[in-house]
Amino acid sequence: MIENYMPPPHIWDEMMAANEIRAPYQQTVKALQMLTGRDMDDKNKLAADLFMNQGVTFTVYSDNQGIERIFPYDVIPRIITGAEWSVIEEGITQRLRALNRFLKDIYTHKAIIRDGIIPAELIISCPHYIRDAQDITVPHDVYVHISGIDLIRGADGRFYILEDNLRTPSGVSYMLENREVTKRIFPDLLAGNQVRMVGNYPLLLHNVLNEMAPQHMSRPVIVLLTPGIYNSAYYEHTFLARQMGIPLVEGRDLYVDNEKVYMKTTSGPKQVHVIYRRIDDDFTDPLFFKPDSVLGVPGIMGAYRKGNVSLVNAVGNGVADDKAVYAYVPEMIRYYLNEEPILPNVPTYQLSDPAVRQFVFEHIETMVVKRTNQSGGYGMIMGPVITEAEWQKAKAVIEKEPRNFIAQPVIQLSTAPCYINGKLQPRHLDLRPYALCGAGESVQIVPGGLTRVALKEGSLVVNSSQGGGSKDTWVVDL
Amino acid sequence: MMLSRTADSLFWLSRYMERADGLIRMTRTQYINELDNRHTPAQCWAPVTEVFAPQGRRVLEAMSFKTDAVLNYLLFDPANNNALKILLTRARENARGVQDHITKEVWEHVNQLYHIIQQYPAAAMPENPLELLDELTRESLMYYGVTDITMPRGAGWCFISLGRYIERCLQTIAIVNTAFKDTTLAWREEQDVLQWRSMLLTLSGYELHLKNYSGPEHTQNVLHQIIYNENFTRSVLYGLSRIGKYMQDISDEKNSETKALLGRIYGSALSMVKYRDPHFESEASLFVFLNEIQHAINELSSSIGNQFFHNA
Repeated sequence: MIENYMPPPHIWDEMMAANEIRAPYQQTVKALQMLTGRDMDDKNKLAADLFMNQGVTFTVYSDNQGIERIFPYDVIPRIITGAEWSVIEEGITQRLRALNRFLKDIYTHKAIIRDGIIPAELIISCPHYIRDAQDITVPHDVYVHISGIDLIRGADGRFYILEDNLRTPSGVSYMLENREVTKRIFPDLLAGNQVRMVGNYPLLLHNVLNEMAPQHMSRPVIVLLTPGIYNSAYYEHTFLARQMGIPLVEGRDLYVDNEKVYMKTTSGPKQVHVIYRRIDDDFTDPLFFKPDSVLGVPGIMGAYRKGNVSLVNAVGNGVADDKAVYAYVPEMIRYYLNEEPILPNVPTYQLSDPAVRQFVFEHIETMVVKRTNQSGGYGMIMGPVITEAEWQKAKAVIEKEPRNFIAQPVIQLSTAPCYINGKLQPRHLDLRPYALCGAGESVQIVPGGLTRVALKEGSLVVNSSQGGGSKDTWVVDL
Repeated sequence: MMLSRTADSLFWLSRYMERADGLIRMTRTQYINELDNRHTPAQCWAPVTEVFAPQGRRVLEAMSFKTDAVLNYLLFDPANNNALKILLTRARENARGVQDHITKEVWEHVNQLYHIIQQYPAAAMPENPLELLDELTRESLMYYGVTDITMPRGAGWCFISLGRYIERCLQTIAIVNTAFKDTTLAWREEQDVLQWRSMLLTLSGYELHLKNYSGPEHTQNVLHQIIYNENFTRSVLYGLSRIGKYMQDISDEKNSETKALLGRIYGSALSMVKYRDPHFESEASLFVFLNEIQHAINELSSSIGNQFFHNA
């Protein structure tokens, strides 16, 4: 099986380097060589059954119909070394400290604008900059409690930051469930490889939520607010609520009275202190944002401003993970922390600048154009594969609102072996570690994260909504 | 203390599962009955239709209760609101909304049942119906075991139990109602055995009957077992006694006014059965009784809804 594995040239492969198996993969490859194709097929099937029976599914929306699917899981783990992990850990910690300070600054004094580091126009034009969040104080000055920062590995073997997800990043339940499934299908491999543990994530998250109680109290009432069973990440919401032992509520279970938030229970109202919300800013409060939204709670922004309830993540974080603001994060790190960024950004072109736009248009065959306010791989323009007609259409849209687009050179994401159709085949992948920020700028990251794989041959799009899958991610100490 | 919405979902999860169990059990009994040549298809299938899908009676009658058509209608047809597939889908929707209040085991089992039935398209006809019905019976029994063993005995358990026993009482009443519709209390000897055998098998009370009842008054005996026998888990009185226990448990956190209200409604339903002369004089008196008790249990169900599910 291994003999026929041929990674594409000029791209970093996680397992192979110049026909040699890289050190972290050696034990695993040895074990895989003992298995027949039949064994592998059995393991594949067992994994799929486990996901289906547990209801670990997400919903894909097309033609107005939600279809439940399991998130394809590839049985071969993605392995990185403890040394590589240390760099990632330090880089993300640094980045989050800067981003938290940036959010505090942008919603209070705006020093970074006055000092000319970031143009005011860029912030004002960001659709996720929430004026109503100005001067709201949040416990311990933490805005980004929960983040999922996407990393990719370039041909040089370095990790780059692809994007920051600081609002409601999802996928952490897949990280945890993938590990549980690996335990079932490769029990010996895990133990023999000294893989670092990820299972304590819900406990760490619970601690952070506890710390965020508006007043010091011994047992704050914490809830997880979900949009409901039709949300594509609903499984994850139930998973986390269950793992933390907190109620999973919907907007209709909550109401605001006298600027305090209550939930409706069988024994009457009960005050809620911390809300881990999995709904977007726009839907939290119909009095402030979308008046027709039924997912949120009318009046909750008032309670939040008063400090009677904490929202996790904070309202208005979207200004910091905007793809146009992303280009300024290295500057933020220098400005707020006086440090050099540990993990580099991918070069990013702001299309609002006419000269830059001209340059990008001329080199579109090597570029990917993204919407600044979209995630999930929607609205991406892949320069190398787009047809002329599609490009002309896209160009017109970009020229209408150039602020809403950025361009990046197409980066060949690293590849790793996947077991597809009975053989090992290289596929592109990224990595999303999940980081938690608590009081006193403490950042905790469980060693690992979600490795997303583009299952289509040659594809660079890893999003689950666009045919991506995932792998268990091992951080091993050699 | 739990969310009102959660309590509501647990209650309905349980009602749908109980209804699905009754449907599977009765369909299985009648399918086996039909293999006996003594029964016409109409004799076998009209009662099931009457209890679980009365709105479909005319359609099925027009097809002279052809077995394939009936099975398809009862199990898979999306036009039938109470088709097994729909019941299990609704049960799962409710379970999905309260996954943090049921155990992982309960969720996985409900989910698994859903996926079993989901394999059959709307127009499906299983190759071997008995095999499918056996499998479903097993899975349904397993649901009770898994629920009983893994669920903690808190408020959630109370609402699950209330849903279960309210649904079960109503089902038992409907089954008796249907069984006695076209017959008199004075059955002829030879018909007796067969008539109550299938009804008791549907309620899984046949063995209990053989062990505990004798004497010539077969019909009164059967009615006694189904309505008054406190050791029979599908009798009306047994169901009511369980409902009483769980209502008391959840009422503890309510104020005295609400407690009194719930106590009154429950008490009047219970006394209707418990302190009644167990002998039935005529068919008419049986039907009057069945209607009254059905009405009382429905009222009980809606007052639980008002007090626990819809309050702010």
